[in-house]
Amino acid sequence: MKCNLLVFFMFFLGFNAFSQDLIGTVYTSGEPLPGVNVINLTTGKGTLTNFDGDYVLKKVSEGDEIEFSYLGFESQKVVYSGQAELNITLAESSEQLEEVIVTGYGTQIQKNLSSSISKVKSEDLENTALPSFEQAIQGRAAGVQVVSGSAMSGSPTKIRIRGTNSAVASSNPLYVIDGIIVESGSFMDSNGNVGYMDHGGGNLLASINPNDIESLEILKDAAATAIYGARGSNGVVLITTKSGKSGDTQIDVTLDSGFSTITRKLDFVNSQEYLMLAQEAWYNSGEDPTKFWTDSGVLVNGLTKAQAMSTNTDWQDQALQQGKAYRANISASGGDEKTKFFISANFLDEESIFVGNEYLRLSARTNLDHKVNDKLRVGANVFYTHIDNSPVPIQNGIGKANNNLPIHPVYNADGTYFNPTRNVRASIDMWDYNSKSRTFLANWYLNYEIVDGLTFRSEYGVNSFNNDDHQYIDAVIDSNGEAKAFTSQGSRNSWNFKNLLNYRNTFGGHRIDVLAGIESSRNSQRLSNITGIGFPNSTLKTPQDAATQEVFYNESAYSFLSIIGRVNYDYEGKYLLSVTARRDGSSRFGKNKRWGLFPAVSLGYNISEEPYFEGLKKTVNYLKLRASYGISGNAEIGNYAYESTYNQANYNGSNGITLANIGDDELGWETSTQTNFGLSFEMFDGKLRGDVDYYDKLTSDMLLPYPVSVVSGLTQVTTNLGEISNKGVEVMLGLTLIDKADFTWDAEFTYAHNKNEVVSIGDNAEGIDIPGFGTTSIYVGKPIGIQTVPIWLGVDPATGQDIYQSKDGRALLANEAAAEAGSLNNFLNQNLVPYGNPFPDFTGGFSSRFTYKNWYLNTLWSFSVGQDFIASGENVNSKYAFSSMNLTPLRNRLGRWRNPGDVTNVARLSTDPTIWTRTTEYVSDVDYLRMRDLTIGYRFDLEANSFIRGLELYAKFTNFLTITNAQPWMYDPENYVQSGNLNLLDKWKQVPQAKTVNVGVNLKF
Amino acid sequence: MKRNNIFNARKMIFRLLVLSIFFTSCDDFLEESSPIGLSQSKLTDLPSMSALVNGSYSNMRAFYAYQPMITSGFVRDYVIRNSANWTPYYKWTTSGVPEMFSSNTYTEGYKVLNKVNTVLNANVNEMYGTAAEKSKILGDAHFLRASVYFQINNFFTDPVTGNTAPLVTTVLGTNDKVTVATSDAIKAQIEADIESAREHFAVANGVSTHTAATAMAARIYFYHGKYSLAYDRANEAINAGGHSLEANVADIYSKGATSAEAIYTIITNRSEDTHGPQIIGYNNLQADKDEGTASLNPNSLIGQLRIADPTDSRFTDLFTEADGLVYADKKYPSLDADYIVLRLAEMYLTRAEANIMVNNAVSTQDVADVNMVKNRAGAADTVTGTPAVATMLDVIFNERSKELCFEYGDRFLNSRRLQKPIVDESGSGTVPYANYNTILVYPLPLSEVNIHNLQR
Repeated sequence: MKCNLLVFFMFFLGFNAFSQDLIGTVYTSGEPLPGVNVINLTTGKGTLTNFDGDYVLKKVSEGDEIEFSYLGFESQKVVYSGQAELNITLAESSEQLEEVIVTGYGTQIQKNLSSSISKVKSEDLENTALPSFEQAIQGRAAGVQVVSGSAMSGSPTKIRIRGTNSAVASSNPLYVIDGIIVESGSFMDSNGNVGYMDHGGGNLLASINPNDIESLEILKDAAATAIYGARGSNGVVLITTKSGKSGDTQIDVTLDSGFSTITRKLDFVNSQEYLMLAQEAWYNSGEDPTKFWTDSGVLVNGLTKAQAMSTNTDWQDQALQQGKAYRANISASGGDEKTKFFISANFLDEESIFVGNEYLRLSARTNLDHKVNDKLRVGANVFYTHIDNSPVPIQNGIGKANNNLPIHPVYNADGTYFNPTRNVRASIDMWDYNSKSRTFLANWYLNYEIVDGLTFRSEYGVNSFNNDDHQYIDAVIDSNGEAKAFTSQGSRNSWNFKNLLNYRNTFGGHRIDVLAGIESSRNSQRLSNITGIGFPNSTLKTPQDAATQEVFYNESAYSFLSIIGRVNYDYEGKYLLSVTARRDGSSRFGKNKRWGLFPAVSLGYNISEEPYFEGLKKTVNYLKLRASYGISGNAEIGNYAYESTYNQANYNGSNGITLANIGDDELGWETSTQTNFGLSFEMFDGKLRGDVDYYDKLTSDMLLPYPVSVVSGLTQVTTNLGEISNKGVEVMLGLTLIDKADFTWDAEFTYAHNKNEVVSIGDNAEGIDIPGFGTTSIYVGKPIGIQTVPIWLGVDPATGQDIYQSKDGRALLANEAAAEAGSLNNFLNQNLVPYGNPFPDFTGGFSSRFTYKNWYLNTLWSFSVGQDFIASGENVNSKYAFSSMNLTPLRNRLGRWRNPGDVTNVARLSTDPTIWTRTTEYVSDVDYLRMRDLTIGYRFDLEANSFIRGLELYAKFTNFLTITNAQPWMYDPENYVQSGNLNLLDKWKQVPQAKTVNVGVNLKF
Repeated sequence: MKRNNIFNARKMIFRLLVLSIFFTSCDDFLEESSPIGLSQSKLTDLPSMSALVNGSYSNMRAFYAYQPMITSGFVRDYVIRNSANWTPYYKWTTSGVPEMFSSNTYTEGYKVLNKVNTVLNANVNEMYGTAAEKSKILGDAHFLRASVYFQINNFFTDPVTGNTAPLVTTVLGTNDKVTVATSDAIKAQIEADIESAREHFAVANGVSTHTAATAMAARIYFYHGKYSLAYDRANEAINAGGHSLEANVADIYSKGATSAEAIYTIITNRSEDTHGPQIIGYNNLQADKDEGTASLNPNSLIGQLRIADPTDSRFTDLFTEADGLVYADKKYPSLDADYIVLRLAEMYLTRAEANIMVNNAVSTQDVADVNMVKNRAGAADTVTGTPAVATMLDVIFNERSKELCFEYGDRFLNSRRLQKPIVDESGSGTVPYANYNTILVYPLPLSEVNIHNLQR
């Protein structure tokens, strides 16, 4: 392979420059424009402009037609009239068809694209009030499902491009920032046993400054993603940051501040209602009503009946507040003929809606590009972020709001916390959590033009992430009365080195763009933490001072080596062909499966360019048919999954080991084969635009934790087995409704439908239940991520008991079910059936941009329909609120069954012990139509000689309006459930979302 | 310009290309091995064998984890107050044992067997090290295999067919298939292993000791009905020295491994995986109405014995009365205490009963053994003279019950051995041996049945 590649390179090096005949320079806005195609259409010979925009076109005769064309610019044709020099100015194209699309290791114009790529522009991401830029994609790109984490600062986002392809491997898309593959997802140290964190451990992408982003391309079909080979099958998000332009230095300042509140609070009972229900439950369970106050356990911590009766605490208010955020963004960009720069700084200071949640982000970027000479260009993009984050563990924040009763006060008379181990306010105040992280992301490149059309690019990138976490839990809120402290230091470091050769040329009507290259990368990570338990004094908060210390250390690494090739070809912009292949080797793969080849091909037919289309062209200005087929992979299988390893299992301070993994030399990537058919069109002079795509993606060799017999020493191994199918339709429609000088109105609509189905799971005909994942199951014919739950049929009007369904379809009252299986809990666990739809049937959005004179109004609505959700914590705690746990129920319990004949969904109240098994009683629809964004702005007219060039004021409303059918126990229809793909219906405690209003000013100097 | 020429030189580009290719094209670049944890190929020396043994002891925590709660639930020594999860235990004499919790014993047991079989099938004798070092490792490996199979045989044997779980003495791969073994075959293996452990520990004690292996052998023979051997081993354990009864019963459990009475202990160490019987026992039995889940069943044998002799220190010192409930909390006094699997008091009671069974007569030593245990607890009903065999056996049954309740499972195993009835759910009646013997059997995990087509 190595040798073949060298020969391949040398083939291109063999091209020689042409002799001189016609010379000239191509400009745009007074700037020389490099890389312009200059073609003598008469002879078919052509060349490209160099870095100074200069070109030399040989053997030109009078009357020859010469075409100047370049991506993103309007082409010009000139008839040669014998002059020695011909200078041309190209105008930037405003047409969408001429828009430059970043394709991964290169660019293409929209018109010549035969694969499926969605583009989100900078103006849709700028000044977003959402915690992370990728949340702003929601509803804007068809086929990209975006689930916002929560209102917690820096919370993670879940993005699925064309469905979920894996069971246990990650289905997150690959993120590429300025050509550097970066690790996304959360960085969380879950190894400390201090407490359960559910803020997702932060989001690496939240460190990116949204205002630095020039464009965001989402690669969807295999033809687009195969260039990323073994890492492309979940789709690829390409992020391109801004660069400077020649001319005067422009300074851009945006100052913004905003307020946020929860989208919806839960409706819990008040003090009076609680006592009514609790006493009813007490009486219903055969207890002596006169002993309610003494024996039911509602009076704790020395509370008297009189105090309880006069207290009415809203515990949610103890965990929620009005959020505040301040943002500042400053950038300077500009340059001259040789050097261009973009420098920016960003500041975000936020207190979210959760009491105690504070977040500070400082980031800076420098993008530089310098032309050394006609042939050589060097540059760098350097980015640094510092984040100081104090999240609130949700199980100890809002999720604990029902743990005390409304009849309980927050504080005792002496100012101490009432019942501190269950007091949400005490939890928040007495639990310190701070996480500081630093991200450094940079790449340096050189670009050398070997001969006309043939360029060599060498690029080296680094990505370094460090975090430093500290937690302290005061003894007051610990159930064992022990103070705990936890520190954790983690780092991820990676480098990436790539060398690319690119050849572009035009022969007659044939245009080719050939790419060949080699890329290598290595990522390593380390994590160490110390937990300290037991402190002599509450002022001591580091593990060093603790009575006992526990330590943890881990490190791992992986490497990739890849060979990349791509040929884009078109004939007269009519027939388009793109062939891509990537050969990927990775240390993650088993010894016998170290290398994989990922090829793809796409075809496009610009049918509107055909002469016979001429008649229709007035109405249908542009029509392109697209088809693609290809293979890409998912390498997120873990770092040493193929090795047989023993883990530490110490005993009494002596070294101990235990079998941790049984190796498999055949273990490899997951393979996705995808077929895509699409069409793109423009009608009525471009006023109506659209893309429609159909895809069929089959992921095979799906990585599964496969149950094996424990006589081998383990209960499961990881193996490539099983298939998942994702099929869907995507529609994007753009509409220009009004296009006048002082009045414009553009609208865009996206819609995506995806059907996810497990096709095969090896020898298991029906389904497998995975050990260690609770009720998680994978069933053939069902989507991935379902759960097995018992079916709840409602409440019997005669007795007020819950009715459950047995596996064989019989309806049983709760007491009948309990008699049949020994206990109700037994019955429920014996009658689990696969259930639910963890994914929406369709998602999409509607956006509109409206300008009138100096005013503008932008809106984005997003929607999602068909998904199920089980809010188990809120439901279990509410249904069993009167068990010995004594919790605050939701107000919907007021509709309980009381008398024979009552038709209701809430069973007769009792003090029965809690059953934790999730049933379908807890299922909620979570369809929504949400006004994700509404921005109103005004651009001031400024005098030409004013010291400021631009002044703009805006107000931005985020998540301000939501129409949903979610049940009353849901905070919000949008819920982030862990980062994996299993067990997606159920979440113990929800993390609410926020709606925000921001006001900002933008100044340009 | 000269400078430009340098940059223009194609040579440089070639150099870069060649450099980049050589820099990255080597397959070695893709060799990454986990820096953490041993790989299988490195298990070739005594330290790694020793690590496998320690790893096995670590598994024993989880292996024993639910045993005290499950077996105490079998005989209904407790009632469940506020956990739907534990309710089924109490009803098992009618519903049978659900797989949910019994599979833990199976899973953890075979994980231990995988490691000790790795040691016992490795060529330990050819490895570099002294004979004593090798004996420590082999002694522990045999001891653990005997301990695990003893438990598996006790709980997974179908009394009708006499079949139990598979007997595995080699290292098996994921594709190997096994069949169920007869209880007799497993018993033979257990006895062979415990005697091998004694032989190796006679050279040098490992994590466990020669006395621990001897005491375990006494327990094994006792439950295998080999009373003569049971007597010999119990006698040897008692006379080995180094162990004595604690004067204060609460000290046994708070001192744990450091108690002179403890012969074999699973040690709790917070910096290690601590999931085990200590945590389960503490969490469920603690004297906190909201936090704990189980309290003493007043109708149970233990509840009745407590009423009969309320000043016995095994009740006054080990149980807490509050909120109108009795918590059996002091046998699991904290999350940090050790879990005692075998202690000297059991050996006295075993020696006495085994001796009576062998001779069909009660000797003064048997009475002395029982009184030794009674007197330490300040029991009011000290045995006087030499009672009739049947009377003395009843005394010992009650004594074993009082002494070993809520511990490793003796209450159930001994009731079953003697075919004693169990109190029923209502507390006013009993479930006879014939009714529970076939139903209080752990089911084989369904996944194992499916993989191997196991038929017990």
